[in-house]
Amino acid sequence: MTSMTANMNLVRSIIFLCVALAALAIAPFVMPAKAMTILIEFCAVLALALIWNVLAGFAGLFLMGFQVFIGVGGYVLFVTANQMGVVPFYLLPVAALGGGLLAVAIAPALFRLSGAQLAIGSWVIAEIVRLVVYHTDALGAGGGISLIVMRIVPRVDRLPLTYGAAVLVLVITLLAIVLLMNSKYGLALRAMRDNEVAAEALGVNVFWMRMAVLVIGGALASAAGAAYYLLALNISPTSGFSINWTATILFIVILGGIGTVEGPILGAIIYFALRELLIDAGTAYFIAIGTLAIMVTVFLPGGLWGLVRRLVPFDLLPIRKVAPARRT
Amino acid sequence: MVEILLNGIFIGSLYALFGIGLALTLGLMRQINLAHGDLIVLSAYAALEATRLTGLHPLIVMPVVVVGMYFIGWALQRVLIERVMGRGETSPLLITFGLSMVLQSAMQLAFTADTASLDPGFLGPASVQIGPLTMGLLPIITFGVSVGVFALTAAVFNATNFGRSVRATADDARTATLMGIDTKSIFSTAMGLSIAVSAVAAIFFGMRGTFGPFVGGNWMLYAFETVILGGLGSIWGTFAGGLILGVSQALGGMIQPSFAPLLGHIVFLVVLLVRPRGLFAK
Repeated sequence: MTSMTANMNLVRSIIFLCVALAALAIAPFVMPAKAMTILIEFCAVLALALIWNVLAGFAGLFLMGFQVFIGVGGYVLFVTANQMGVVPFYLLPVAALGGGLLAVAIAPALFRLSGAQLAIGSWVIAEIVRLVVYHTDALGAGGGISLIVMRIVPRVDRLPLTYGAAVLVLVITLLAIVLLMNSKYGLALRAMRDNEVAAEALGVNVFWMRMAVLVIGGALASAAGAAYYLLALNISPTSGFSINWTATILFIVILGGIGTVEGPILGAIIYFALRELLIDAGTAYFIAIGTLAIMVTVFLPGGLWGLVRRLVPFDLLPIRKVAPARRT
Repeated sequence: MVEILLNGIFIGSLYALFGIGLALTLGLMRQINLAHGDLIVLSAYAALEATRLTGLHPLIVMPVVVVGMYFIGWALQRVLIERVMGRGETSPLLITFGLSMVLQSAMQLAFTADTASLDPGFLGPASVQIGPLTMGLLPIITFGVSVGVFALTAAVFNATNFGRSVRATADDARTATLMGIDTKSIFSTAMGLSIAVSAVAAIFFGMRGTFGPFVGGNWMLYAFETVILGGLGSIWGTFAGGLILGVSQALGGMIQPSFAPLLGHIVFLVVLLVRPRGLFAK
């Protein structure tokens, strides 16, 4: 019974992913170039929000310094591609490797903290990395570096290839989350979310779960950051390690609903729609979305997806498990 | 060299005041107010506006600003944070994150993105001769006020009913409620005090340097580092944590001005790795 619902969950998730993939595959043929750049950004930011949501919503790793993975991903890609003179698209796995190694490097400091303290501690770490890059001449110091190697890619191919890279990162992220959440580790993660001490008592190795999620999440986040900077073509410490990255991601996750998989998807769609609609509002726009974030947290703890879920009892990417029938 | 160190100590005594506010809410409610720094910046702007309107010295308008900020902190807890308490550590972070975003943008709208500072008036150039050293009067007053606030805080915590209630609530909020302590009122008073104490620091800070709508994030990080360096739960530890941070930054600034925050962050990280409970934890 249980394994059947688990299979059903996976089948339903895969159908949703195929539909999404088909839509993303058709997009470049029907969309103008301007819309393509927004869609590339959308894929990268959505992947980042999905990862942040698993870290914060399930693994208890609320990272205010999440931008560190984005910046490192971008820098690793730029430096290796420029040095080796290779088509940069092939080097996304190297960016991911950089993010994974970064996760391993910062874990000892990070795991000494928990909860709110871990959140701010990760921000300090991101600031350290930003300031070190800022003072490293080999990395272009404050001015940053450009992806000069992009010259070897014909101009007409750049946008479609960048789009392909961003979609690939998004699809891998979605697939990784669906598979993870439907595995026994996903169950362990949800147990951790609900009650860490109880999960530990039931045999979940909280430390290693956290480590694994941080390393996988860090690697994917760096790949997503790198995909974004393939579009931007230059990166500086101020942009790559900006707290605004985390602010955007936080807003998306709050709006959609923290601790669900569909939440960030809905949140990202609304965020991009709001941003494009209110592009002329300037500073007032930030006041509006900040207020919205407060309101949603207070009055809609499950986010907008929680609201939708109450009206339409149907998961797109189901991760719930039905408890086995009790034997009497 | 000595001057740089002294300067670090004076700035550090202000970081300590930023930190004691954060330590109060962190120790009591296990939560961090992400808008802590932005509220400090708001008090500096409030003082700036008050001095502009009245033509009075920043230190004269300070009591009004401090009382005003107390009520803003109190209301923040009562109106917003209280609604989500008991839902885990995430919700207060999310709310104060939204508040931080709103405050930064609102301050940018109201006061532009340019940096501002408070005019110290006659205190600016005034100095005293202590042995071979000439020291500014303002830094000495700053340091004195900080020590005074810490002494007062320690006294309140150790010897008053309010202090005992706070300590009891910090140890175990549920049991404290059972003992007849109005924990909700304790929480909102603590949040009010947290912001009010930081407002004192903000005004001294504004007289020595500059501030802008977006420095709040950094100030919050300094407050956090101060608390963790000193060790959560130790009042004078927080004071020492502030001094260590201030001196580290001053030493970093000797190498190159932009090294100041970096060296502060690194000292924090090293202490976190070597003594995760802080240097002066009980």
